[in-house]
Amino acid sequence: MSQETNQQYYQGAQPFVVTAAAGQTAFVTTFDTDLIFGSSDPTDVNYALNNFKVYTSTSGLPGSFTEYTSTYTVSNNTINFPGGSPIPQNSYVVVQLKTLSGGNYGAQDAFGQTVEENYGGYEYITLNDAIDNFMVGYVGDGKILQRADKSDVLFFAKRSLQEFSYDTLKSIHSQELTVPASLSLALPQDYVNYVRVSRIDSLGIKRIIYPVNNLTINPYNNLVQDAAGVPTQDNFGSNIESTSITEERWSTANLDLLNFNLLDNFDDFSYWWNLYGFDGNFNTGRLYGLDPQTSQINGWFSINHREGKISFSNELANELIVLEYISDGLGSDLDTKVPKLAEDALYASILYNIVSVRANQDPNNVMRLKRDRSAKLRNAKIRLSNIKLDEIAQVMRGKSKWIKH
Amino acid sequence: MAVSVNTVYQTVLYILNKEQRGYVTPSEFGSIADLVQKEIFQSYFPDGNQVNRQNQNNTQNDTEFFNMYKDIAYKLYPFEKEIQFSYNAANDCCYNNTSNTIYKIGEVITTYDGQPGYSSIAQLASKKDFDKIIRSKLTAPTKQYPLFYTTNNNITLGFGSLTSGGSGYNTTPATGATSGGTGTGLQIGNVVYVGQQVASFSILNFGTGYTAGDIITILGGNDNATFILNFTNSLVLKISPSPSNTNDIVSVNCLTNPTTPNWDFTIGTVGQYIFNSIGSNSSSVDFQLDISEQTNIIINILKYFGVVINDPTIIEVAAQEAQTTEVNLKS
Repeated sequence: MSQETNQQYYQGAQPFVVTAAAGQTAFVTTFDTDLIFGSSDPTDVNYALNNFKVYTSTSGLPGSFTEYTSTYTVSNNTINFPGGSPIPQNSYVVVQLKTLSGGNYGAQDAFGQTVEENYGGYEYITLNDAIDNFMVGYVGDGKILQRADKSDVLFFAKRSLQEFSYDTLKSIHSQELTVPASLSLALPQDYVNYVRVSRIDSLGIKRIIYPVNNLTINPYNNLVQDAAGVPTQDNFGSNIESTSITEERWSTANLDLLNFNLLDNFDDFSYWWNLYGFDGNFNTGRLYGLDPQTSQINGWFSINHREGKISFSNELANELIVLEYISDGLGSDLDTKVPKLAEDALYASILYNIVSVRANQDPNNVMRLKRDRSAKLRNAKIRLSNIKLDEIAQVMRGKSKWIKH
Repeated sequence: MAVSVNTVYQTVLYILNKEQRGYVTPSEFGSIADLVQKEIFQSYFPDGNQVNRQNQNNTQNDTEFFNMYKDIAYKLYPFEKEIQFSYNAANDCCYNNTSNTIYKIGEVITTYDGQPGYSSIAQLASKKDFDKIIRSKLTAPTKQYPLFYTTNNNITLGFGSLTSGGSGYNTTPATGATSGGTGTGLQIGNVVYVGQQVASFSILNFGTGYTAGDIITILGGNDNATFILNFTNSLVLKISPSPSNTNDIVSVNCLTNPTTPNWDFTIGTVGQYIFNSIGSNSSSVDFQLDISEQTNIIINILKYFGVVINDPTIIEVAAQEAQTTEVNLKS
C-alpha cells in the first residue's frame, strides 16, 4: 500500500510547518522513494547525488521559498539540521524530490526524474516486500511451511523472478543508441537476451533489424596458423589469436549485393554473376526462390559473444538504433519490482520450489503445489499479456480477412 | 508476578514440621530452591516443543486460557528480555555487554543506520550453512537480509572477587560510578553492604577500553573498595553485514538465566531465623518463575527434601503429585 499523500506522489513534495517553540531539527520524510543524499553543500561534488532539495520559508507563500544550503544530514529518510541551528517556529520547510519540471519551490530548479520514476510505482511490489509477505503468510506454526530459512525463501524468490523475467513479465528493457564507426556496441550491463533490434528512421519509425543468422558468424576463436595450418602458441603455451577475418569482411561488405541493388553496384556485377548466375533471382538462397530471412534492407546485427558486444552491418554506421532486451530482474537489488499481477504466481512458485526440494514430502502435496504454480503462472501471463477486448476488436475491424491457420 | 521465597519456605517448613521430619535450614533451602527453579524453567522447552506439535497438525485449541502452548510460552515472560548487543571492532562481532546472563537467544533484529536505513531480522545459521550461504550470489547476506552464526570469544570483561570491600560505604553509598583501569564508562549496580563495606555488586555497564587485570575502584564511601577485571569467555554473534557503524543496533530477544532465590535472614534473640523482607538492606530474592508455578515449586522442593531427610513417603507423594500435573498438562 502506498503511504504517500497526493502531493507527495504528484508533486514529489512534502511540506512541514514548525510548531515547536524551540524550533525543529529533525524532519521525517515519508516518500515511497528513499532519499539519496550526497551533500548539503552545493559546491561539493557529491551534492549532485542528492535526489531532493530542501526549501524553507518564513511565510509559506508561493515564491517565498529559498533553498536551504547550510549543513544538514540525512539518516533513515530523516533530514537532520544541526542542534545549534534548528528551523525556527512558524517556519515552513519543503522537501522537493527532483522532477522534470524542477518543482514549485525556490528557483524551481530541482531538476531530475525522481518523481517520474515513482509514477506508476503502485503497479509493482518490491521483491523485498514479496519475501516478507511470504514469510508472514506461508511460514509458521499451523501453516503449510512449518519453518523455512529466509535464505531459502530469498533464493527461490530470486530464481522465480529470473524465470518469470524470461517469458512472463513485461521486463523488457530498451536502450536508444547510435551505431559507431566500429559497428559494435557493448551489451547492456543487465543483458540476458535480446528481444528486438530496430533502426529508427528519420520519421521516428522503427524498422526491425534482423540477426545475421546464416549470413555470417562471429567466430569465437581466431587462431593464428602456421604454413601447415597448425595453430601457433605463445611462450606460455596458449594459442595465439588474431582479429577475425570473417568479421572484417562482413564489416566492409557491400550489402547491396545481398539485396541486388543492381544500379548502385554495377561495378560489382561480376561478383553476383559469378556467384549466383544471372537468372532473375539474385537473393541468397535463390535456388528455391526468395529467402525471407535475407530479404530486407534494414540491416543486420549479430551478438559477438567473444567480445560481449552486439555488432551491426556496415550500412548501419551512425544510424540510430533501439535495442530491446530482457534481463533477469535482478540487475539492481532487492528493490527490484515485481508486477502485482504476478505476485500470487511468485508466492506459488516460491512455495512449490521450497517444498519440492525437501526430503520426505507427500508427493500428492508436491504435485498439487506444482499445478497451483502452473495455473497461477498461466494467469499471470494472460494478465500481463495486456489483452484488451476493445483493442483486439479494433485491429480485426480493419482486416476483413480470413484468419489462416 | 514472582513467587515469594518466604511463602515457599514457610510452606515447606510447615509441611515438613507437621510430620516432625526435621528442620530445613535457609542455606539448604536456598540450594534446593535454586535447583528446583532451574529444573522447572528448563522443563518449559521440551514441554513447549511437545505441545507445539498440536499447532503443527492444526489440532491446538484457540481458547483464551486453555491453549497449553500459549500457557507454557507465557510462563517464560519473567525471563524474556530484549538486550542490545555491543559491536566489537577488533573481533568483528557482537556481544552481550550488559549484566544479564543469557540462557538462550531468540530473534535478532539488526538496525543499520544510514541512508536508507534498514531494520532487518537476522537469520541464524550454523557456521557450515553460513559459509555456504555467503558464497551464493543469490543468497549472500545484505542489510535487508543479514545472517549470523554464534560462536565464542574472549572479549567480554567480567570481574573477579573484590580485592577490598573498602570502608564508609554504608554511610556514603556507591553511586555506581567507578574509577581506574584503562577504559571509561564502567558502571556497577545492585551493591550490597555489610557493615560499611561493599559485600557484592554486579556490573551494569562494562564501558569501553578496559583490559583484563585492570584494578577498578568503586566510588563512594572512602573510595577504597576495589576489584579486578577479568576476561571471560562469552557468546558472540558474527553478523554479516557487520553492524559496525556507531548508530547501528543489534537487538536480541533473549531468555535470561533465572536468578538464584535467596531467603535472607538475621538471627533473633533466641537463635531463630528472622526473614529479611526484600528491600534495600536485604539480599532476599524471590523465585523468578510465574506465580502459577508456586505449587509446582513447593512439591518439587518437598521431593528433594524427601531425599535429603531420607523419607520415601515424601518422595512418593511429591513425585506422584508432580507427575499428575505433568500428565494433565500434556494430554
